[in-house]
Amino acid sequence: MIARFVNIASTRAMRRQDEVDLTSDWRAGWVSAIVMLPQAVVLAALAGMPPETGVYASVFPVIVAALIGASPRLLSGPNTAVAAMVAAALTPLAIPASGEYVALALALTAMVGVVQLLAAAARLGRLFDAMPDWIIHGVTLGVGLMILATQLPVVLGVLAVPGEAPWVSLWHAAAGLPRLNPYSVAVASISVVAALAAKRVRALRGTLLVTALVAGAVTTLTFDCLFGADTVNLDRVGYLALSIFPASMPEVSWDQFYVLKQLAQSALGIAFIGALQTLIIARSIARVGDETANPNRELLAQGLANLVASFTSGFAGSGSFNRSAAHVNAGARSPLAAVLSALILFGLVFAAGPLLAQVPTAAMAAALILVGWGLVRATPLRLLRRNGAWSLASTLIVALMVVAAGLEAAVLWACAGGIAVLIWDRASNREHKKHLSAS
Amino acid sequence: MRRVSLSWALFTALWIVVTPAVSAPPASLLSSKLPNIEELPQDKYGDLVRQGYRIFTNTPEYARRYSGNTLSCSSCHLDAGRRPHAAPMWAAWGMYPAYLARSDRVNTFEERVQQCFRFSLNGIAPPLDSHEVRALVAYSQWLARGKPAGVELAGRGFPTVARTGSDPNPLRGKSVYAERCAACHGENGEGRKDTGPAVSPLWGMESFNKGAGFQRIDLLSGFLKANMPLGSANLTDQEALDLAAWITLQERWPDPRKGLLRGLLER
Repeated sequence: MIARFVNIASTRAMRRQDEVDLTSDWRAGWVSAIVMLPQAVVLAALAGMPPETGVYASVFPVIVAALIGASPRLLSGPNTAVAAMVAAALTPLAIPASGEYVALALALTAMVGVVQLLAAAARLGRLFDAMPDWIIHGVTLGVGLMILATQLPVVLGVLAVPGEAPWVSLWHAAAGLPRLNPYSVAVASISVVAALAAKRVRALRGTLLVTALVAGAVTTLTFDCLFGADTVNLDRVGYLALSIFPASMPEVSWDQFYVLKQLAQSALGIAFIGALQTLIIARSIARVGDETANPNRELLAQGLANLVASFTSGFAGSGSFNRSAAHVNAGARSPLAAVLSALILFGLVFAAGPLLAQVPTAAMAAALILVGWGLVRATPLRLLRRNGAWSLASTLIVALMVVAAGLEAAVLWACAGGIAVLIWDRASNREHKKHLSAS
Repeated sequence: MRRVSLSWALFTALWIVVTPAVSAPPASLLSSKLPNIEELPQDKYGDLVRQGYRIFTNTPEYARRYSGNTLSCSSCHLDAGRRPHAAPMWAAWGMYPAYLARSDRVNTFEERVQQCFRFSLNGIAPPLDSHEVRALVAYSQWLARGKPAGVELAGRGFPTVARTGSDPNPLRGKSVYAERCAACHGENGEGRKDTGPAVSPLWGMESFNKGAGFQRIDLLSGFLKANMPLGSANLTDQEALDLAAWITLQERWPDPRKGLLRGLLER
């Protein structure tokens, strides 16, 4: 089966490119697998899903999206904003990581896939392409701020309350200060410091999160040796139970229509944000001669990838900006590189299982804080200001709404706002044209 | 159910200090009606309890993420946590939160479950809000339905073996082990899992660590006296004490309350 995938990928690649440089694809596959490994586990935690599902979501849908998508160097899979949205959608309905929660996540992922497929069939790709930038910038900035706020109590070793608005976490952290776990704070700080130090070392560049997680696990094991696991008292990822072919069936019960209604609403938002991000990334990494001007094909690929995720125990994803960027920098040329990276990742997880089991939650929180800080820093506030005060204000309003009212509400309002702006532009354009023809 | 004894840790210690010794369980206690897992309703509560039951009786599979050896909860809490004098869950449920001398603070039931994972299962403590802890709490609560809370129920924890006037002797314990236990638990306490009903390992890498309650002679001997050999518990007080002395002398993982470095060097 693997051979067939590779075959399809390479023939596609050959068709696309004059020369296929296998070694550079192979190298990019390795780099991307190493970048993807920590994200798989960390983003699963962000989505409230068991770590195994993060691994599956970084393997099967990634292969499908790479083989079908229009952009040959785009890497899909779990995405920060989408993972946060999955958690926002499901925490009111079930307890994170429980069987019920996973079942709902599968149903939600399938719905996201169907919505994106319908959008592709209706040729709505252009609509996404025309959406104003402030929606996605506002949502990513908001997700970044939200992650920073919600991971703070985890760093302190204080149990978070799932399903609260993000700003409440800050209050939880403050209220939990007297009972903070000093070992947890130490592990998280060492993880962050190690990752920042790794940034300065050329050989370790791009492995920010791996460094954070490894440093956290090593620190925890050292603490165990010195003070004992019971004294240190840190939660860990735990032993993974991976299967080579994790078949699953997304099921929805028509009896629980109120759940379905809520899921469908969330699926719309997730499909929208996922598609929007994917198209922006595809545009930004496009080379001359790429067929990226095909947003409908990209939508189709994302929809199929999400459907595949729901049948292989994964969860919703989209194009990933940081992974695609690393992928391109490492010299990826064809979809083969993405397929290789997914397969290498799968192998790596089996090999890294024992170490992964010892990764403490505090190090995961540290990794997420790095991710969140990255999102906040990546927001091009200056560029937005140049586009006009209105664009900057909308971005900030969406971001603040995420923190104050939660991701779900903010995304739905941002969608509505974006569509309203489109209609308004269209209407005023028509007015303008009428004006021109009249004069 | 041919599983042997393992841990139930320190709260029993406290209890043993305050309560007089129990010799044999009264007949009324054994015959009292215990809830049957088949009677559970098919709803969300029933599902959670059933998941708790599965974790309880097959921990390495259903709580694989946090389990560190081949023992299950029901290795020590016999009959899926229902048997009196084998630390039944129905008697433990109503007694928490409780002060535990080991941690010198008041522990909740959930924290007590975490300790079982860390010591007896030699694994990783599951987070307090994890699915595993919630399922086990639900199962315990279900077993305790209809029982008074906050009352010391007869059959709670493990009985205390009366003083025999002679010290526990591990060498005598060794020969008792060879005679009475080795047939099921193996010459080297390795247990059995390939043929016939599974039998828990008593020491070695796959058994409880040195921080577990059963590493204490008083708790282990009480359990042995009340429950072993399984189905026909007939050890004398002295035999139970000698056996406990022998079993606790064997090699096992160090106590996670101490640093691993210190734990490996110390007994």
